[in-house]
Amino acid sequence: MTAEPRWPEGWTEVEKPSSLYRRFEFAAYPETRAFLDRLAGLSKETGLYPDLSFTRTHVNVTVHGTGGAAVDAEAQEFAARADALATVEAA
Amino acid sequence: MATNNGSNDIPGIALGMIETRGLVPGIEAADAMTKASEVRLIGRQFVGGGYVTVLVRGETGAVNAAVRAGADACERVGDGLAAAHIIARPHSEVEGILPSPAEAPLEPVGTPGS
Repeated sequence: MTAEPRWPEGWTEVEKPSSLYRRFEFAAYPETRAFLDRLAGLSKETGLYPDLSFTRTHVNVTVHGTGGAAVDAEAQEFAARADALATVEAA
Repeated sequence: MATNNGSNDIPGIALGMIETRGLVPGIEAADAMTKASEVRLIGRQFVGGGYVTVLVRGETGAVNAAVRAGADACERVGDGLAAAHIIARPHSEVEGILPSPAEAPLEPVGTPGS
């Protein structure tokens, strides 16, 4: 029996501290920067601010549960929406 | 009860860091970060090998905006941006190793003979 993943595809779950992370790769800095802007908009909308680490061509996003708690549905939804923001660039 | 939501006695809990190649993009990043949003520049560290890290604290949204602006500034100064990092809620245990504005080092850290 295959258990259905509890988080969006491409994200890795970390147990301690409870979080989801994903690395997004981009071809050049302007694309990285555009993604960061869209991600900031999503954070402002949802009130959920992930830890971010980025260089010119990649962004690591680490989503924690609301208020530092375990990864919850809100964090999973944020992860899914972050995926969509990254694919906007690729389209 | 212990909390992992960071210190409450610092205005704004988020921590933003930009590591640059060279001092000029570091200063440029610090200038852009503090002009871009309401953050406090809490220090800069000479990491070694020409790398410089500048650190800011503030509200999460402000730190996010500041770091993005700082990264842009680095990009304008050649190949200055090495890495940028935002921790939305640093653990209270981390506070002790972070520079405070009054303690910002004036001399390079770890420089032999200094």
